[in-house]
Amino acid sequence: MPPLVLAAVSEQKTISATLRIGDSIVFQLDGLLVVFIALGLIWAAITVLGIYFKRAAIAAAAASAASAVKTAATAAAVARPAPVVPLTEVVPAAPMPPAAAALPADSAPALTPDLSPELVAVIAAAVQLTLRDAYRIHAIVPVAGHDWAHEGRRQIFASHQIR
Amino acid sequence: MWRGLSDFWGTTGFSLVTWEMGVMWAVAGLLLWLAIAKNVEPLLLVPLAFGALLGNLPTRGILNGELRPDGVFERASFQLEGRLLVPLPSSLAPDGAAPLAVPARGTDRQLLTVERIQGGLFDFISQGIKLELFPPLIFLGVGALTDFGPLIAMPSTIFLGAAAQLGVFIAFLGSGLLGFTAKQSAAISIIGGADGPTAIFVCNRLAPELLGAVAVAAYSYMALVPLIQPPILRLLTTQDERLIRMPALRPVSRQEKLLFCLGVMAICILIVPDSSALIAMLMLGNLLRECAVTDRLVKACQNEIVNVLTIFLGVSVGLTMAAESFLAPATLKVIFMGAIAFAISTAGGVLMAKFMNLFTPHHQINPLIGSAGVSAVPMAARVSHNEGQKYDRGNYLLMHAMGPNVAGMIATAVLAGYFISQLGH
Repeated sequence: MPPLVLAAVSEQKTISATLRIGDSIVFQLDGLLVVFIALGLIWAAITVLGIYFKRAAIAAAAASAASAVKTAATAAAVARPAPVVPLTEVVPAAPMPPAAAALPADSAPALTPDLSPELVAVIAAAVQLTLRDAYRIHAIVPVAGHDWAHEGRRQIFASHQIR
Repeated sequence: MWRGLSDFWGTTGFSLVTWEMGVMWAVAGLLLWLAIAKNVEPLLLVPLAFGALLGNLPTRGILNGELRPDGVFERASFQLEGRLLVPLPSSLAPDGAAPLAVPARGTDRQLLTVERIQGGLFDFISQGIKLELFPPLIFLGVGALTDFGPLIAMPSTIFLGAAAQLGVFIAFLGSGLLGFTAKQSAAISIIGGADGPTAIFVCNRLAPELLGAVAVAAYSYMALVPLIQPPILRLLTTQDERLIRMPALRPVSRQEKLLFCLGVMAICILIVPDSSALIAMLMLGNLLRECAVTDRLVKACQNEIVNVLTIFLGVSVGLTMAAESFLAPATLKVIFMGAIAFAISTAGGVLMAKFMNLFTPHHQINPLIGSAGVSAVPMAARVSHNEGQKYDRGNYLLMHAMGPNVAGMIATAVLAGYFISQLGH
């Protein structure tokens, strides 16, 4: 007979009044299974939702980019073209209607052949979201260095109370 | 004059002081020192230590206690004084007069007119624990403070939270070997979930006589996460594994977070209805946060509500640390088994991450974030992050670790529901 592991428990339990070592292990495995089932279902639900929302986000971004490029192209057609500035030079923003913010689709390759019109539209949208004012992009320069890492580190340090 | 002084002496508390009380004063002093001088979980340990000190002073009029027939010293009980009434059938009552009252008989439905409620301040405050109000309300605040975005952005990390419950089951078995009943074993082992309100919730339901010891052990180990987990992480991971960089998490939309709240609540309650109180309040808090139209309510949950409840919870738990029940060998066993549960839970999360990496060689998970599955939000996630930075200063694991961290919180609540459903009814 296996040794009695657990003392008698309340008679109102749904499991047997006493738990031997085998019963105890089964009881624990049942519990672990319940946890994995519950979290597995949550995982499945999140995954399905994630697929849906990711596709929706991609579709929305594509539509937004196409719209921005179209708007920019229209604005460029009626306005004086922005002066082309060398790639490494960044000129302070000058007030300009947001509609004319992004570079014309046909002028983007003049700045750099690596920049796609979609990327220009995304960067223009980010600038608008950040500055919340009229702006003009004169140059788009690839970031070299660890600025993002430094910014992350700065935020972590800033989140701590310095004694 | 001498007789007057003698009579007054009889009313003081000096004659009621016992050596056990002195020991508990030292325990309370130690907890206060840890909280104030060492900054160990001060928000909870200060009120808890104060409650422990108060509970071991010969107070009068603020807290009642009695020794139950089963040997358990129960605190925070109050008396109702009133009359039992059974209304007569209307046919027997005089016309137009109120029904007469007669003494109740065996099977009659009894009506009680309460004329006076006798109890002290803390008898009433402590009902928040006895009636299981405080832990779910704390969860409301936790939900309002927690961002589930990292978990939604990387759903696979939810299994790290599930695996980190391994210690709970090992501790359950160990507690049985040490002579605890199944209910007590469940209450002790849930310490491995590293979730204070859940531990209190389960312990109050299954083994209230261990509440003080379990609460002290649970919060102590949560405070000691930065000391307990790093050696286990270093033991179970290789240098290459610690250097794994994980891709940036995708942004999660508000709609996703809202659906997550409601979906998780429904799934958990359907599987383990006994965890409804915890899960529902957690998700209510998070829903208020994510819906973005209830700013005032969210701020109340994040600040006033959770702060007030932390004070009441800490003092109420401290009051359960009466010398009569706390100074027992069982307390040392609880603290020992709590440490076992915590360590194994940490290892469980790390090993699960390594196991998952076997199947996803192109999307490796840094095993250091597995330890965050023990809950202890957000301390455990920060430990994972700091540990990763020791080996790669440019490796930012904090947000990735928040996924298993909040998953551990949900898993512990599910497990609590399982224990209560199997042992508590």
